[in-house]
Amino acid sequence: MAFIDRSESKNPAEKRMSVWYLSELLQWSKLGLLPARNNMDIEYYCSFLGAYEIASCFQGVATLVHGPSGCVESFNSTRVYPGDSKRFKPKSLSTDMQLNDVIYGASDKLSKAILNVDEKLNPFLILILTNCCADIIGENISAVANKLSGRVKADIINIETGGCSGYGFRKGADRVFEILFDHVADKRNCLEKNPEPTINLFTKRISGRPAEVKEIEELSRLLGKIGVKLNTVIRLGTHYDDLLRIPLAKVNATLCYLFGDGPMQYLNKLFGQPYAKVTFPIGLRGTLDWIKGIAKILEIDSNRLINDPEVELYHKKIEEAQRKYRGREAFIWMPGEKGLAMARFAAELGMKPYLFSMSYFAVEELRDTIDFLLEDGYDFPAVLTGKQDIMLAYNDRSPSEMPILFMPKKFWTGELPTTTVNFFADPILGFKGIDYLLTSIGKAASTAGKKDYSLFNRFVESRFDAVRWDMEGPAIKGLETTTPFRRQP
Amino acid sequence: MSVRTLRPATVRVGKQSEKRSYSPPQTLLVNKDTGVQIQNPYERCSLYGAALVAAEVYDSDFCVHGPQGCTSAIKEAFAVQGREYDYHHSGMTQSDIIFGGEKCLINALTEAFSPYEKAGPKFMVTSCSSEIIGDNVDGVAARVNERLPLVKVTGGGFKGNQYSGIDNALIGLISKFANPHPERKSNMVNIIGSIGLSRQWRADIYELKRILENLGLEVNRVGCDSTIEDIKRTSMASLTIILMPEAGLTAAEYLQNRFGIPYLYSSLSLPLGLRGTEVWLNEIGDALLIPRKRILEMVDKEEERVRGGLKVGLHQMIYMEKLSYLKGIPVSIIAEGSVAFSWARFVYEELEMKPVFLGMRTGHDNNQLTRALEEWKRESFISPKVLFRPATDEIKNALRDTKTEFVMGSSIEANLAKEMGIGNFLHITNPNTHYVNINSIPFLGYTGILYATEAILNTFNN
Repeated sequence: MAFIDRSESKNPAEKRMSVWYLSELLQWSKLGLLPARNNMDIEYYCSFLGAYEIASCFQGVATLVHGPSGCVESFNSTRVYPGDSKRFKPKSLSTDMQLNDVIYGASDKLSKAILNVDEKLNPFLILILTNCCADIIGENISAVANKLSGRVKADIINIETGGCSGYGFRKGADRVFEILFDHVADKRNCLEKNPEPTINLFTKRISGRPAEVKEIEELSRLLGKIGVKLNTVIRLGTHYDDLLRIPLAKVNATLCYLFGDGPMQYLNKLFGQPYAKVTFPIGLRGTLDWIKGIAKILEIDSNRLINDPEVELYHKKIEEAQRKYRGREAFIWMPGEKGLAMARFAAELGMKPYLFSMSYFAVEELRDTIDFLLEDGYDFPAVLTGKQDIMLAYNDRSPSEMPILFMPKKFWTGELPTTTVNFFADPILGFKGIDYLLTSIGKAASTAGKKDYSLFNRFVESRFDAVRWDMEGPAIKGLETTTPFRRQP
Repeated sequence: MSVRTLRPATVRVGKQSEKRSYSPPQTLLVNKDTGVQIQNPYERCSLYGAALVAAEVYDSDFCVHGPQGCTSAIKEAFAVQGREYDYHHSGMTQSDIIFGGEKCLINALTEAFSPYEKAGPKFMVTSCSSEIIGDNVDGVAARVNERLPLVKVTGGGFKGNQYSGIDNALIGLISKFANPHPERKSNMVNIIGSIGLSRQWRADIYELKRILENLGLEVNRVGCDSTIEDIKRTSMASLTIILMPEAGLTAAEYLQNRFGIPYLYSSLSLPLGLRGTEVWLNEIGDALLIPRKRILEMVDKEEERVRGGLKVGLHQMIYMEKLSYLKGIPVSIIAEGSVAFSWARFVYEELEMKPVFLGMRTGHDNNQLTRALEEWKRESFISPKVLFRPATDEIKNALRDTKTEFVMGSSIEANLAKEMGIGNFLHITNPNTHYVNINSIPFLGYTGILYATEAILNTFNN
């Protein structure tokens, strides 16, 4: 039995698309038959970088990479440090291994680096991560750490996380969380929980976004309506002291289930903290489901929020939007769990969502989220191939019948109305997020069929000259292929 | 593909326009808190405006008939235009005020005309003093040798501001030099820019010239690096394009009334941004009967160049970070009415910023502008606060009440923003007391989009 992509559907409207419903893809995934590898994940990074990203989030924790500095420097330049993170910017510390170090070993260098970090930065905790070089040559980090344990003020933890392990980003990130939580468990003498209903909130992978502060404030406000407070928020810049407070909360919750699932499961194992299986609180139903999920675990009556006049107000707004957009297609081209949450919101508006950024490994990663969406009755079609051609074909429709695209940036898609949702800058969670999204959708719908003048929403495609390589024989000797090697213009 | 236009541009052909009378600005603005009357800090006098134009004409001489203090306005004007100043003044004193100043004027003119003859026009400009006492400047002018290219301009500060000074000087030049019996050229246009009213104005003209020349038009710059020959040619054009009605409208009307040359200023005011430039080109094309297809081809090509330029570096995180600040940031724009409206439209439609306050220094009496503004507000999903001719304390209150995080305006607003702790500022209009201009960088037209966007993004400091 093998997974074979389909390109035809019984539904005439979907005829040109390769369309699979999430329930179907999930079945294939559970059978282990989707063509996705272990180290493939949405982020396209290795386990070392996953570990590094989490390890370097916390104030009071110094992350020292034992290995060449290139991994860290390149990665840091791809991490966004938007507005709010001005208050905390991770330092990139490494032993900067060179050729000699690889040949003769770098234990001395590591010792000196640890002493240096302890003296200059005065952290509570030093995390030593290894990248590929240190792992391959078999550096004995533990020996170095043990030797220094009496000489440095900080605690030292060594995490072997070489990227060549073959695991993806997620694995490395989860591993660091586990180690940090173990450390918290060691540090805390008393694990008595706060009697008040409090939660730890895990945000999402890229933290420190300008919108993040507004979103956390909004969710905190909504949780306050059912008497729930935030114990701590795990995000870029969280202090070491807040890490130590984690066990005090009654429940754990997350914005992005993919990000929070691993650490929340571990906290459940370590401290017996239950966690809510919820995803991004986008839209009215999405937000209420999120709150209800948390309330259920806390055994709190969520009707206090549901009966709130604010909910009635947003019901009316949603109903008005349904009158405008019912039956209209929504092409969701947003990656990961955000895409699923946005599709759920589009369905709430009466639209017909199609997921355009689903992939095999995304299905594998998002299995749990897809599971509980299916339990809630959401089964969205995912378009796997021919996406751009499909979107271009819809240009022929009349403006009021064009699908509305949901994308982080607008790629060249003719004049289809596009709601651009930038997760860095746009506060779209909670009730206030609904206002933002409805305005954005309205603006997009009003520009259907009209020329889009926005400068950063739309990108021209790169052009290159097609070349025909006149080879005699196959591209690789000994490897015959039936298709000639040819670049497509 | 439809292009939205708010309303057609004003193109008047062969029709007498109403006589424009200068309506004096409300220069005494009352501070509501203190009751103190405050001078409008934005406006200079008519003399200053005339000097802005004079500085743009090659080898010109400038002689002001007034006390020596008036030269400060001329000095500022020439400095703003980046020109070495060469001016004279009649140095009126008390006795000249009492007994008349024609004699000192003649002395000044003699000094201005000798010991060598410069090729450019000789501006003879009155000041408040000479206007009030009613010196017979025309009589003096009549005595000047006809071979000397004398241009008489009214410059009294109480009679007008810098905008009317610009117009007066342009009319003076055109009435003196424009060929009275021209051979009309169907593909030639005059272009009158916002002479000296922004840091980029000259670069803007050259960029717009480049675009129009790509359409096959011959562009005559009026009051921009001009010579007498350029002024002579103004009567040969088939259309006069003015960028902002505050500067050049009266001169354009003069050209229409005297030579039947229609004029145009765009329904979206400045050719700023993709849509502003496209609408501007379409309206020029319609006025000159250029096929729309030709314009569209050029627009597509230029747009591709702009979008390609903006794409460069998009994967740099700093670029993404700064773009994230841009979206939805509340921005206040204080400038001349047409300028403020143009920037508000550009930053909202094309950069997704959120205009929350427009301080329109002029334009309260411009029906086309106020209609365009109302129509744009209706079509957009925002309703910024709009104040015409706001006083400084009104601007401050508006910045505070609207929680502005980005200000666009003059050096006056730069200081206000700094005072209020608003860190993001872009300089778009006069007066300028902050920036050194060495490079010629436009904000209008297609090339201007790249520079303007870069300038805005770089205001966000890490």
